[in-house]
Amino acid sequence: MMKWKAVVLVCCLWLSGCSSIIFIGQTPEDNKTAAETGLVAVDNLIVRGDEQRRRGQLDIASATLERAVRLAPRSPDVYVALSRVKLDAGQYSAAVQFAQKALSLFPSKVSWKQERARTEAQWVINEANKKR
Amino acid sequence: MARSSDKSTDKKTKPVKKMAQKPVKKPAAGKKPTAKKAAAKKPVNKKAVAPKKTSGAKSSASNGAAKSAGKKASAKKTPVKKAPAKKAPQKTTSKSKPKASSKTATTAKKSSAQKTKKITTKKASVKKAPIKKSTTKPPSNKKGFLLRLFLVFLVVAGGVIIYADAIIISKFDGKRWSIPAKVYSRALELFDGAELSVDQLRRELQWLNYRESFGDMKRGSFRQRGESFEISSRGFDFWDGRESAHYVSLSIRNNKVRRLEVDGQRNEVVRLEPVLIGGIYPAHNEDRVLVSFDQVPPNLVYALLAVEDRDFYDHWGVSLRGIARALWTNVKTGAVKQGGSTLTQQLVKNFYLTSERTLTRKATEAVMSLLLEMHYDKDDILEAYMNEVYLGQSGKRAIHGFGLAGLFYFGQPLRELEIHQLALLVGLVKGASWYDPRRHPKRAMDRRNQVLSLMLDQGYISVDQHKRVSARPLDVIKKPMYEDEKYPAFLDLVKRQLHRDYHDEDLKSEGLRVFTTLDPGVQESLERSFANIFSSIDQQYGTQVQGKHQAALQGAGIFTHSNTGEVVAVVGDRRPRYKGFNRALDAYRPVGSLMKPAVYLSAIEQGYHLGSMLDDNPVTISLPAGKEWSPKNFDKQSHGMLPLQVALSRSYNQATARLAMDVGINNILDVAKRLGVKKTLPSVPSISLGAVSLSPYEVTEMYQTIAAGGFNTPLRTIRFVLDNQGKPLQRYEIDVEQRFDPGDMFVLNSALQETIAKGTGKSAARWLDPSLALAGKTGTSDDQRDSWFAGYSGNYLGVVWLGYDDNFPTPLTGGTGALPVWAKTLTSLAVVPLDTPKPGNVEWVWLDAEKQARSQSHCDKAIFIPMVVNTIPEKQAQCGQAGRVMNWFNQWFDD
Repeated sequence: MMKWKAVVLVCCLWLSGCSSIIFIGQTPEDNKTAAETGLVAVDNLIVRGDEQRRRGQLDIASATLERAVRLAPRSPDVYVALSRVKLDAGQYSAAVQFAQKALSLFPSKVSWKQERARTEAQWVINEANKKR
Repeated sequence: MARSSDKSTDKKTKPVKKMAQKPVKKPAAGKKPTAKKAAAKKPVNKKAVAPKKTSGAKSSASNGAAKSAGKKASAKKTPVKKAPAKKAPQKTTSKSKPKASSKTATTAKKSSAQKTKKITTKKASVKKAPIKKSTTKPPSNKKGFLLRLFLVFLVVAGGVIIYADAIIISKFDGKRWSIPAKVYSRALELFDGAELSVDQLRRELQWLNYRESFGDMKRGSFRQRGESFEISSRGFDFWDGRESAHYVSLSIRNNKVRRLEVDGQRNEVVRLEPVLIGGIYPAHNEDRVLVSFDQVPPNLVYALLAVEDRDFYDHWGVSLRGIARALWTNVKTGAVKQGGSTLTQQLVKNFYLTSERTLTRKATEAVMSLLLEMHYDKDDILEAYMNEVYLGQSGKRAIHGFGLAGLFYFGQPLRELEIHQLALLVGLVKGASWYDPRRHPKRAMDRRNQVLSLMLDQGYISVDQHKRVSARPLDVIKKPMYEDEKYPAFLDLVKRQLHRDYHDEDLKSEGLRVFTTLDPGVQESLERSFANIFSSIDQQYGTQVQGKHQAALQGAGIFTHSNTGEVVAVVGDRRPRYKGFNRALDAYRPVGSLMKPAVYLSAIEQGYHLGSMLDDNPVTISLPAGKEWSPKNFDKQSHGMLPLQVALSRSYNQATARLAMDVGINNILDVAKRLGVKKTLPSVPSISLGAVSLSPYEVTEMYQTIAAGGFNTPLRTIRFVLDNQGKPLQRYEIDVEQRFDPGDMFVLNSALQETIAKGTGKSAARWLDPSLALAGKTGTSDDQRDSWFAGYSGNYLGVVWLGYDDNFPTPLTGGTGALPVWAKTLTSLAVVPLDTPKPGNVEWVWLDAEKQARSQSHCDKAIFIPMVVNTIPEKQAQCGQAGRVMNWFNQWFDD
């Protein structure tokens, strides 16, 4: 009986952990992109490009993420990551366009990860519109 | 100016039997050719190039590099005595006209030779004077006169030396060669989940000339077991840094890469090197791929020294021992068998002088060789020699240097070549056309083995090695991998873009590396499809067509990546290697029904939906000046009232013309413009049925926006350009601009999918799985003069045109001519289904089109269509239980 209670307790703790990740997670303000395609190699490129962006290497970040676009051209997440680069580069019109491209590619029913990326795309559009 | 070694007869190579029997050791430590000295050296020309402008492209940080090169140049105007070549700056800047610099390459030799002649003439006149005077002057003045004469001689000789010295330094330190720009395809990216077929990968490895390995996996080799591959890649310099050589293993299942490991690591992405697809050549067509001394295999150096100049590391540019040895050999054999020129002298002759056989030239050569050796170290001179030497001919293109020769004869980079291959290349120095291994394999084999014997004699290889490698075949590839303009229509497009951004001279002489978007797999698939269809049309309609018309049916096509706008294949002629008129870009032909999507998209923007009923009865439209226009359907029939989706998918002209008048011609023109048609179209009703001439390229621009879900994505052929040092010069970015509502585009896409599923494009099902849900539109102009098709999958967009250059009618429609070319092209590619995400403002609805009311799946005549929410009728049609039963039976029988 104790054993089962322990299992239930562990499950509850695990689920609560998941929910905190789900609901707290990373927001665009964290300055890290939430983009994630599910293709590990492409996601590695997104992570690399995002790191380059945060280091201010915007040109090379753009090249890295365009490479990711070529690998997964129908994935909305790569466009989200690219829109962040354009935003940081002050190319607000391009940032809006890439974010809109991303939004057009999200399916109507999205996972929680995709929801975060979609929120981020919307955030990019708002930020770019505020600044331009 | 003849530079080729094979044209000169004073050859230095001694026959094997005549070589000294005592094995010669490899160059002693300190003298032995080593890569250490050259480690920091760049062999390439040192001029910095800047793009003409930056519009449409991103200029890189390399501008900074160019500036720094300029600074170096200003700091290094005075020659330093020892080995300045490695760090020698580029004297020209990005703004300097490359014309002048390229002239330098061709005129330097002439000018130096001409100057030398002038100077020696003066010397002769000076010498004549004392002879006259010596007969008239008393003997007491003779001594003084001779002294003066000697002084004059010293001054003149000094002038000659100073002049020669200046020439040597200016050319050796500056831009040594004019290097044509090299154009590469895209690089194949491998990662888990990548769409790729076994055939595609195998073909890619063949283009790159990877060898199938059954033993050790050396660089540039691969092994295949069924669907599993092991690849030892070569590595390459890309825009974002170097992709190192890797050991890659993967398998391919269902046209997707699985279980990819890169050097034993999972979850990686790796690039193979791109395929070299052409160059941009100057008029003199001298081509080379520069190699630095540290890139050269030691065995090449050993072979070169053994054959051409065994004392290279011991002499000062001129070898008295070498001359004596050659003299002795020639006297013994009674013929000119061997030359006494050192490698330095050969370089001076090829690089600075002409090949004329005069004592003056020979003397100048000797002086300049001594000067060259004074200023530069041996490795620099050897490196220049290895890049300069003439080694073959490919049409108008002269193959210079061992770097290009490796690709030309073996399809492999120099560092991958084995001893027997290197020996052949060295053997070609004596006479590249006489020993041409493709035309004279026996001669080439003898010459190669002669080189190997010399290497054995001089202790560079062992007896066992010699025995083994002498038995090897020549291993020369049939056709050079590096063909001149293998894909001329695509290269034409690339050049047009490059000429907008770069000076012509820079492209022909600055050694730029242009990385394009061409996918050789798609290109060759498109070419094959055209060949198949032409053959099939000739068989099917041959007598019918040829009886009336002699000219050949022509064709053109363009394929792009549907999401990024990258052009992956272009065909501009029935013969894809033909370099003439490029129909893909320059043939402007009536597009017929390809314009209809603009009409229907305009209607959808105004609230029409796929179930809107259109009238396909005969129509007459009044035109200005009392004229009338009465378009007819292709089948000469009228089809009454029908849903919009059916009118578009079956391409009915009467219904479309009537719809166009309702929508408004100016609105249609506005939609066409937003889709990407840059040309100003006439505001006439017939525009709705495609009474306008566009090129296949312009049609591709228009359909690119449709395929990309309403985002205008400019077509691109270039990804980035590197300068001759491998530094990034310019990058061409992906650009997108939303021009249509995603909901409207989703609805239009659905109708175009219906065209392939049930409409005029349904014959595609003969080649392509209907589950791919592809979309497209056929186009046939009046009297079937043009056969068009534009269609797309989730990853490719293709536009194909067929017709006669003189507008003669064809027996083809869009569905019977152009569509099969498109479909067959896709069959050999990994095609991604067209699965566009449904936008939030769209719902799939069962509609009773006749009643314009929502319906149910079991209702008779109910159609299931996507509708923008604000167009969904509120009215609900009832069809009762009988309909449900009938529908159940219908479905049962349909199944």
